[in-house]
Amino acid sequence: MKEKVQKFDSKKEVQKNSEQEKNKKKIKSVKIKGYVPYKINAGKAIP
Amino acid sequence: MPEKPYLKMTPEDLREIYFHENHFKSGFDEHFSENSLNAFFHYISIGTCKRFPNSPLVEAKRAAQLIGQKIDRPVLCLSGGLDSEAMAMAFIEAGVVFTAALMNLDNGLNEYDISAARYFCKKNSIAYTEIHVPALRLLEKGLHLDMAEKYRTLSPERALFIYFLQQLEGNPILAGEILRKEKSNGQVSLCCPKDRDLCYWRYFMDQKIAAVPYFHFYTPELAVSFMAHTSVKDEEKENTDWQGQHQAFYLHKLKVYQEGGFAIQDNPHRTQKWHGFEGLKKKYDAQYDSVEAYNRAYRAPLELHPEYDLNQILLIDENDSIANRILNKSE
Repeated sequence: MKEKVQKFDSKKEVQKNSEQEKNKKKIKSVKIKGYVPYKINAGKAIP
Repeated sequence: MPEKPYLKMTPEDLREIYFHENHFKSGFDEHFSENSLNAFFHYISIGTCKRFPNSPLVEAKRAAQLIGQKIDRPVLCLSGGLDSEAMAMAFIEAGVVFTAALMNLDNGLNEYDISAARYFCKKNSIAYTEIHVPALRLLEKGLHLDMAEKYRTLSPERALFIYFLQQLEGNPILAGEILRKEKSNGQVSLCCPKDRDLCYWRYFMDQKIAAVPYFHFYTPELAVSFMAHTSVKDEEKENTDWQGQHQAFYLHKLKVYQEGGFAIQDNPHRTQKWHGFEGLKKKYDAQYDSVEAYNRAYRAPLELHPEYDLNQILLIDENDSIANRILNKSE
């Protein structure tokens, strides 16, 4: 179990670091050719 | 073990079953590709409405009939909540024969939850099975981590639900939720399936199981029917406080289903219903004398909120004048 958590944490770290560089949280608008975009509520975890 | 003919189906055949005419798409770019690492957006898209939707009940009945034509042994997964009960009512009214499956956590930890489903099945003479899910033992073994890696579940509860699906015989049918408006942190936006909610779909695809991962989006017309015909389009309900707003949220949802034509009634067994895992968390917390014990053990390792979770977009074909009119009216 401990090994599984460590493995998972290391993957999370890779993802977190690379994403922190290129974004500043929420995007206000988006344009995709051929579509009308609608914003969906932000994801949240079940408590 | 009975033969499972759908195991011989191609992925293309199965896609026609998951959503009618494979209309529903999900992915991380406008081509709906499935590479999650560093994804900045998550997109979903529903197919073009071919006509203005009928009432939600009529559209749900049509969806049930379409499913009945494609699937041999529908097993409706009933949680005891309104969404799955409404789905079951649509199947009953459509005359599609089905059985039900109920998830029974650690010898009754969600008894308050499934008792509503059991009551519904008995009242409507629906054959059902209860599947025992040894939740604490599975989580201690790291099921939440394994499932997060395979299917992007991002929660211990979804991992347990996949375990439940693994035990089912037949073709699982999951209700999901209706397309509606939701107010979160002061902002009103549409409530649609998010990437994490589609983990069951990924599981079905991976295991080549003929199933329905999200009934309330089975056809484009059903998906937008509640926004077209009920007060879900113009009433906003906070859904951020899972405890505090529970009753108001529940009553609003009940009203919306009734407006949609469902003869759904309040059920005394459902009064404590929220998501069905409260008892599990409480038991674990009590064991370690901390209200954060469960979250620390099983949620914290999954806690990262991917950026695409914050930037989720529903794409509607710009030529779909019906869906755009319905959704724009509600803006």
